[in-house]
Amino acid sequence: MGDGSSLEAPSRGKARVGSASWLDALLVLCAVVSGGMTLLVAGFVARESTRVLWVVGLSRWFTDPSWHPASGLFNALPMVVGTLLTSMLALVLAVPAGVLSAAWARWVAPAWARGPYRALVALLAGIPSVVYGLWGLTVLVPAIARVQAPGSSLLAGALVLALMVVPTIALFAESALASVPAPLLQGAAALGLGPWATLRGVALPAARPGLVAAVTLGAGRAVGETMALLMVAGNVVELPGSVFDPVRTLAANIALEMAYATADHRSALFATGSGLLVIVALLVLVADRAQRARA
Amino acid sequence: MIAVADLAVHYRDKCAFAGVNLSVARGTITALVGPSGCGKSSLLSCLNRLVDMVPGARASGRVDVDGCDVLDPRLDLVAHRRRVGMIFQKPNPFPLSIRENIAFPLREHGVRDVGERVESALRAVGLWTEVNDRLDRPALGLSGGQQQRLCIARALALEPSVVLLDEPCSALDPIASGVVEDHVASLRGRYTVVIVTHNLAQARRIADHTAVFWVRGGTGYLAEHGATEQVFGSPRTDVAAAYVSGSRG
Amino acid sequence: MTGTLRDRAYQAAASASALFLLLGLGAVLIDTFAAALPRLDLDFVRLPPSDAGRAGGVGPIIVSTLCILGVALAAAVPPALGAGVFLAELGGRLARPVRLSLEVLAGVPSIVFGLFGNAFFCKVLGLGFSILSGGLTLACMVLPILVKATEEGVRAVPSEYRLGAAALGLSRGSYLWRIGLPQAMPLVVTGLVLGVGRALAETAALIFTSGYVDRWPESLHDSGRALSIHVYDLAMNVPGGDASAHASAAVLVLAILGVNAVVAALGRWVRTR
Repeated sequence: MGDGSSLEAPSRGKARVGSASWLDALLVLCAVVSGGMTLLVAGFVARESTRVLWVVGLSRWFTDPSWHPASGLFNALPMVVGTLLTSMLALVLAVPAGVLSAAWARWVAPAWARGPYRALVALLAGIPSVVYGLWGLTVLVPAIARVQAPGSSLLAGALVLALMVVPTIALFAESALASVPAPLLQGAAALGLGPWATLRGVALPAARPGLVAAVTLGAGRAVGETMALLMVAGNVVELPGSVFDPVRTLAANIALEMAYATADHRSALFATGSGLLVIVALLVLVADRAQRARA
Repeated sequence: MIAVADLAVHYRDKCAFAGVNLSVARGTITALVGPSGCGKSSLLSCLNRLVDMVPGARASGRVDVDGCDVLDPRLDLVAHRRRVGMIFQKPNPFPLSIRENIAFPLREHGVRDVGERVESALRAVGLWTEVNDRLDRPALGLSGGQQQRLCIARALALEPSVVLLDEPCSALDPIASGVVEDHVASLRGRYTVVIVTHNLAQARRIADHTAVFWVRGGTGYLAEHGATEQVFGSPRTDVAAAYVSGSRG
Repeated sequence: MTGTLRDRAYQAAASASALFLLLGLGAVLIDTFAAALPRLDLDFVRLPPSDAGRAGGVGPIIVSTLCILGVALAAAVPPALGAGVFLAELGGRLARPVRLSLEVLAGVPSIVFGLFGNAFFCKVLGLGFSILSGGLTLACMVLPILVKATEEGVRAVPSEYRLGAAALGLSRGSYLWRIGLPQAMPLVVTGLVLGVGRALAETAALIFTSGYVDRWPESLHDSGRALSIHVYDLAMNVPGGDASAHASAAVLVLAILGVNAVVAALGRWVRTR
């Protein structure tokens, strides 16, 4: 505690000679280490991918006859499609449900129900994905199989995924709606706007940046989700013909093959991981832009 | 003593005040009065360099406190702020016990006889008899007036030579305000006191000198400075005359 | 004006969404616990698994999970505190890239953390499949949550305290130690508990870092199976392991419920203090 730094940020104004203390240096070090972790993660995953990327390039990931990385065939298109389809179907289900239930919690629900509802949703957002996966595997998949075999399918994956991301979207959407300035809502009420007109015309536009962030966060979670899809989506590397066909996602593929992959195969899995990383980083940047547009 | 020469403060592009020249003799009380937004508090925050903590704020000109160049970037802020105590508008005791509020800064500055200093600081503001049986209770449990006196005690315990007060009574009820004012008045002679106040009657009661600030084109300036009786009795400038008579501001 | 058709339709849809969300998720929890009940008793959390997990319990797995968690927190908390304080107190030009980088890190899929952990901790640092590798991988995952919580906590400290401390000539160190961090503690602890929840729930990042071994761990260099991986393994790789899978999932959910209860209690304690 004997350091000589005063409480000002040292970056401000002119440099103050002799004011940089060990504490400030330590704080900067922590920040650099924490911030640099992303680079370390991205750097290592990219480094392990280069081996195969030098050989394969980019286009063969979509044009090779099949996905047999051990034999030098790298068609990842079915898995890319599987990832996008499960995520998008899940979002189509989860976004309206999440936003509407957030609107319910804020404006439709009786006051006493809000707190408990919010606590419950927060709790559900923390339930591990293996638990959802297990439920999907033992309840949902058999139910779908009664309609059309095999049950493990794009539909099962999308439904479980939707269930998983709804709480996340609902939580963030609710805080976005909560940030709508009260005078705006009072103004809407003063104009005699009904609940629906207020939501569509006033609240949703005003909360847009926060809602965009909520959706991109949900999308990030959906694209990267591994275990639940691994357990319910069937894991067949083929383009699905219908929602009842099984699919394999990129993340599930990594989990499935990593155990025995070596050499180029292992590198190929890291390359797909890099792809996921890039998608998620883009989503985060979009969310960040949306958030800053509000400020 | 304090000498301010051609002092100006800018917040980013906006000039809070400019061209202020002011000197304050040792052991006297000087009141800074004037309407809101004329730079009184900004001036005060230059004297202990708290202005550094406002993002984008920049002070230019010259400020000497006891012969020490305050705006010098190499100034030892810790030592300087020990010499110049400050009391804020809203009482701001730390979320610690009453005793620790005074003892912790003392220990931080390497003072040894902490116990005695705590007692004498509390006696100096008339708090000792009120709180000596609950020194280890949270300071935030005190009333507003008691909290403000604790803050004064905390500043005095460091034995500063200058005490700055930024509207110390404006957040208090009239009775507590009167008690705090009496303690501020009692600082005369031992400390050099600069107090910002919106209460003209208060300035008149306690200040030896009064400085009237005014605003022109969004920028504050020092309109008149002199002995309190003179500024209130026979002001030399029109704005000061109008302000002290209550017809403007 | 609330009587229009559209308004009623909206309110009905909103209520239905909320109800649907609760029912769907309620079904997940109720089905899980119902299927878990036959296996769930004191022996289940005490005994080691036998017959590939179909019988016995999850004792060593709970211990491994706790060890992984301990490693993760021990590695993540110190830099997270420092970085959070940096972002709240010092800021400057470095703040924006650090914040953005941590946001990206928070969004990185856990399977990618698994890849990274496998390549970096297991291979490059030579830690192999071990509790240490798994814990360090999880530390990277929870780091953004902890940094954010610390930053928000320190930021939420009333500015009067900072000004008062500066006016008394206190150093940053003593301000933080006596006032800033104690005041920030409730939010920091909330973040910590969130991080623990996330780490407990994590599976994908651990498959290729902490490994599958379900024996009692003897050191941090041993491979140790986390509870979530146990659930996955029983459900996918062990025919007839469903009952044990549900029971393990129930233990996991109960642990997370417990962690949530701690947050709620902390919140109440802070409000009444």
